[in-house]
Formats: sequence, C-alpha cells, structure tokens
Amino acid sequence: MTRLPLDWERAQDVAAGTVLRRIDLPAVTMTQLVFYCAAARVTDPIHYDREFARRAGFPDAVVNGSLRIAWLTQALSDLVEPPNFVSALRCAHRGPMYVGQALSLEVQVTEPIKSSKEGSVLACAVIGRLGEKVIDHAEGALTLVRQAS
Amino acid sequence: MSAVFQEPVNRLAARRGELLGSWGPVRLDVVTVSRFMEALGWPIDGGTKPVPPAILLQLGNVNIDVTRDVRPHEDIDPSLANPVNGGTALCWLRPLQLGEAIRGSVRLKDAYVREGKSGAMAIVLIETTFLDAAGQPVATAQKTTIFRGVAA
Repeated sequence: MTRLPLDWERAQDVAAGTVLRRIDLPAVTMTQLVFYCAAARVTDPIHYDREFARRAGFPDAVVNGSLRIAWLTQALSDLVEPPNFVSALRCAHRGPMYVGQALSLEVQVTEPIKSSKEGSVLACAVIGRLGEKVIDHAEGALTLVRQAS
Repeated sequence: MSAVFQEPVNRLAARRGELLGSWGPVRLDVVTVSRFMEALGWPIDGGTKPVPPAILLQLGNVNIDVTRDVRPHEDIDPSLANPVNGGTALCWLRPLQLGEAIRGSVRLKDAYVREGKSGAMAIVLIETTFLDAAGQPVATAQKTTIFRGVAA
C-alpha cells in the first residue's frame, strides 16, 4: 500500500500499474449542477435546465465537462501536499454524463518517477467510470520536489 | 460532407493566434475557493490545502453576461453547430496560492476539418494562458470543441 501523501521519497518505490486511489462520487443532483454552474458562472442551459437540454437533443441535463475535469484533477491533487503539485492533466471525454449518474474515479501510476533538471515527475492516469464504462480517461502528472535531507 | 465546414473553418484558421479576449485580475479568495469545492461535492476544509488546480477553468467566466442564455460555441462562429466537448489539456507551472490574483488571455490556437467514422467535423482549439500578479505564467489550458454540424 503506497503511503500518502506522496512525496519524492515515497514515489521512488511506486511502480507502474500501482493504483493510488479510488473514489466513488455520489450521484449528481440538479442542485449540484445548479450550484456548480453558479460558482463557475456557466450560462449554457443544457447543464441546469432539463427541458432545454432535452430540446437540444440530450436525454437530460448534462454534467459539465469542466466539472468532470475538476473531479479528475482533484483526485490527483489530493495525493500530494505543497511544494508538490499537479503539473498536467489532459483529458478526452469518451462519453456524456447526465444528472443522476455517479462517477467512480481511479488514479493509477503509468510510469515510475522520472527526474530531470526541471524536477521529478510521476505520470498517472485518472480514469472515470460510470459502472464498468470508462467515460473519462486523463493523463496526468505530479511534480515532486526533492527536499534537502 | 467536409465541404460544409470548409468556409467557417477557413475563416477561423485565418485567425490563428488571434487574441480573443482577456480577463481579470480575479482573486482566488476563500469564498471563491470554498464555493467551488462545495459545488464539486469535495470536502471543504479550513483552507490548509492548496487551491484546487482546476478552478482556473472557471475564472474566465468572470465577465459573463448572466442575462443571456448563451451556449459557449455560439461565440466561436455562428455557422458551426452541434458542439461536443473534445477534451481539455491543462498544464500548471506551480501550485496556485490562496489570495493571489490571476489574469487570463484567450487565443484561437487552431481550426481544421477532420474526417471521422461518422463523417466530417470541424475542430476548434482555444488556448488560455493564466498569469499571476507579476505577469508570470502559472498555467495554460487548451480546450477542444468538435462541431458536428452547421447552423441551418
């Protein structure tokens, strides 16, 4: 079991394929979508107006792509504390997500820690699933600072 | 089929690199951060954790006109329709700091037509550069929008 929070020392022993974290998020409610759209100042009604979303061709209110990105990023970011940080996340959504659905997240190491003059990077994948179906696949990176001992 | 996209894509491609807008500064204060974390459904703590990195994606909406129901793609090119989120790529150069002020500049990075399994589509890439109070870059975000149709 990998000890968290991750730091440069602990990351030395982490192999590719290691699952660092699994999270089951609760089902998204319309209240959460409304609060998110207000906090993020989103004006696209497909995210907070179920009838508008249906008229636009969706089966129901659509969970914002940026909200999904935020979940994936936070799942990775929570693994470290300053001065370590999330330095990259690239995500392609493989399917839509609608109100009432619940996303499960998994963070998995894809490559062992690599050091360069810019710093040390641990490459991870963050995967979002609805049941067994993968709808989000993100490639992420954690930058880990080697502390003077 | 790709011909229907060529005119709007050519129009956009001719504007590659164009500054579409800038915003800020927006301060990453406790209220903004707490409301964002609350909306995520993530536990809110006393502020000892770093600022959530993805909060950057919402900062550009600071000047949005809430009196309009606007679908974001309508501001890119009115002749493109049926947008799908084609993905996002974020890169941070350092952790965000609670209380710091961030500015953003938004550019049209690229536009092209691609043939997919279900037909042609227009791809538009928009890039935002986030700067701190000293004008130093702290992050970039590239958003891809896929348009599967043209406006009637």
